[in-house]
Amino acid sequence: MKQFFKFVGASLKMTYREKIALFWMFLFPLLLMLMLGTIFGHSNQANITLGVVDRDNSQVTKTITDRLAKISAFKLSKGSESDLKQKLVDGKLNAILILNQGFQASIFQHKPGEATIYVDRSSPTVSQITSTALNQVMGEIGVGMAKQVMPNVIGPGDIIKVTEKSLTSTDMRYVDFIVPGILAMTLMTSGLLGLSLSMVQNREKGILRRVKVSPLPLSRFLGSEISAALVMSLIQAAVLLLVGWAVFRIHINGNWLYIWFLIILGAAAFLAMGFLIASVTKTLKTAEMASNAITFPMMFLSGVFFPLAILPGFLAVIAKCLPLYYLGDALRKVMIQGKSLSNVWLDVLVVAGMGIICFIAAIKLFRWE
Amino acid sequence: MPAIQVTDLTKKYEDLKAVDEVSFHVEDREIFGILGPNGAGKTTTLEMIETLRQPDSGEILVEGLDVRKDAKKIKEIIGVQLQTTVFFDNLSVHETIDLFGSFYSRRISPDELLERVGLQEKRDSMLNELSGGQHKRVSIALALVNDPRIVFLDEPTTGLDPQVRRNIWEIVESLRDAEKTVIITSHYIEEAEHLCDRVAIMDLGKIITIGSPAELIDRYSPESNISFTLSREVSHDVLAKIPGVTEVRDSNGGYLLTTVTPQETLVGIFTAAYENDAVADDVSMRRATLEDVFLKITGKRIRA
Repeated sequence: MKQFFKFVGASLKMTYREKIALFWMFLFPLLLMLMLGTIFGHSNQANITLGVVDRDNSQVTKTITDRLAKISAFKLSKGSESDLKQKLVDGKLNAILILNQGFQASIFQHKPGEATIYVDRSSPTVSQITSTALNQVMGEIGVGMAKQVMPNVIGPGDIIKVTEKSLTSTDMRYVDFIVPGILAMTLMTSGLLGLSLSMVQNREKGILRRVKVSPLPLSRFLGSEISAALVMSLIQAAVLLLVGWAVFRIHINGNWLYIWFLIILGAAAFLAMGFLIASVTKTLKTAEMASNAITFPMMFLSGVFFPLAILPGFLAVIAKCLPLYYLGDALRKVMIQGKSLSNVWLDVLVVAGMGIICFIAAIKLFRWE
Repeated sequence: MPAIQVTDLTKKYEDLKAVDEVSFHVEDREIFGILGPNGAGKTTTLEMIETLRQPDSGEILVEGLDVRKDAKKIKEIIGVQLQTTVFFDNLSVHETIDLFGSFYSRRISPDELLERVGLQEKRDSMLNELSGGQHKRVSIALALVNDPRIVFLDEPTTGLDPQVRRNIWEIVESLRDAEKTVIITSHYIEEAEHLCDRVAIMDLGKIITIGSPAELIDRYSPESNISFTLSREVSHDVLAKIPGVTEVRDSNGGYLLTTVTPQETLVGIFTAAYENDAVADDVSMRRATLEDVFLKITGKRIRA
């Protein structure tokens, strides 16, 4: 135990003294968070799947529905209200437009027709895009109708009154979306690069040989190495969450126990992958290349920065083949949407499974020189 | 009981016999050297005793413990300086020694070790700020961190300049005073002659001969060479009659005599000069070294 704490302490000291490592571990994710939060906060390119419920079933509401169907940005889907709501919660729909009963009657009485839009605020970008687009389109339709039906009325708001509602109670912004994503990404990079590089270096420098002639079992030394890296990952996670909260005021609605469970699971799983890289590569350079070859595509293809819904279909398929997607997904659902672990069991299973497979392979393939 | 007993030790790398049926023992509290050119199998032999490598066949006992069965116990009582270890860049000397000390159940305080190897002023320097000699001293300090009974030093002075090499020698000699058994490899003749009680000369995976440096020289290369000049030419026949002389040669305008009894021959040179009205000058004598022994047995030089 004494040796264990000595090694963890020494590792932290070494990391602290390596200023470049500190930059990549702490500053880089924070900068990324800031950059993405400000630059891509208002992304505006999407195919919006929209559920439409026509409660009024009148001539006017039919006209509106037909017009919506002609707009290429929208993909309409009909069904019962409860079905559509379930689809929205499941992420299969981006929004639901409900044309309230008495819509046509209101308009004929020179009052605005009432409509409600439901969006899923837990995917803030999508929700923002959808409601903006829908409001705009409804406005245009309203102007068109105003010219025909009531030429004396000017504003579209007078014709259609849209109330926006969210199915999830949370008020979520883009930064709420990316913080769990960046957290997942950070756990990945520090697990992969951090551990694999230091392990390969210790082998290259002959430190493992020196350990091997001491009574300390090599497995214990490797265990301390991995634990030290885990501690480092957890510190990173804590700093990220703290800055996210202090600077960006992210809303964390989840159970802290679940959140830390996922952070530890994710960190451990990617550390196992880093361990595997250290086992199969010979030199520092190849370890670095291998780590980068894995982290970079995952970083950009796993939907940690952007919701999968706004990516082209084939990219979404690729994302679902990457373990980082599952970690990001689980963290987002638990942290921001306040879901329980049982809601993300598949994510947990994939991440844990990957970790276990990597760890077993790493042990089998490990070479001490 | 000898500190180390090695019997018929063999290690193959593919077709190459790196160590070929080697047998020797190391006495308690002696400084034992393994001398030989690069690739002779010195390091492989050492690393098998250190439990770092598995022998293909043969037996190694360290203080009576078998390396195959009692590796862990052996590791507690030996201290090892490996040839090429580079330690953590961003740890200080003190922190490095402290960390490695934590791997052992018995340990000496880092500050005491730093004093032993003369690195007190570098206590808080980072490892990557040290010179080659200082780095070597850290690795020797690490070999002593568990106060071992047997210390292994694998080419501790390779690549160091002569002044620094002498500093390391002093540290090794202090180990003799501390009653440690030391086993050291080297390809420096002077180092083996200066430090070792006994030397095993190794080449191509085999130990060619073992003994104290003086014994080995006496056994294989007992002759000394004496060179001198004479103010008047004297025939080789006269010089050959000087007691102890085995060979007479001309050399750089003077003479070179090979002798087995250098003292008698020296007297004889001056007598012969006097009797032939000549004056002997520039007299210098060179004793054989282990290099000559190696040359004699293998027909090649240690440092090619």
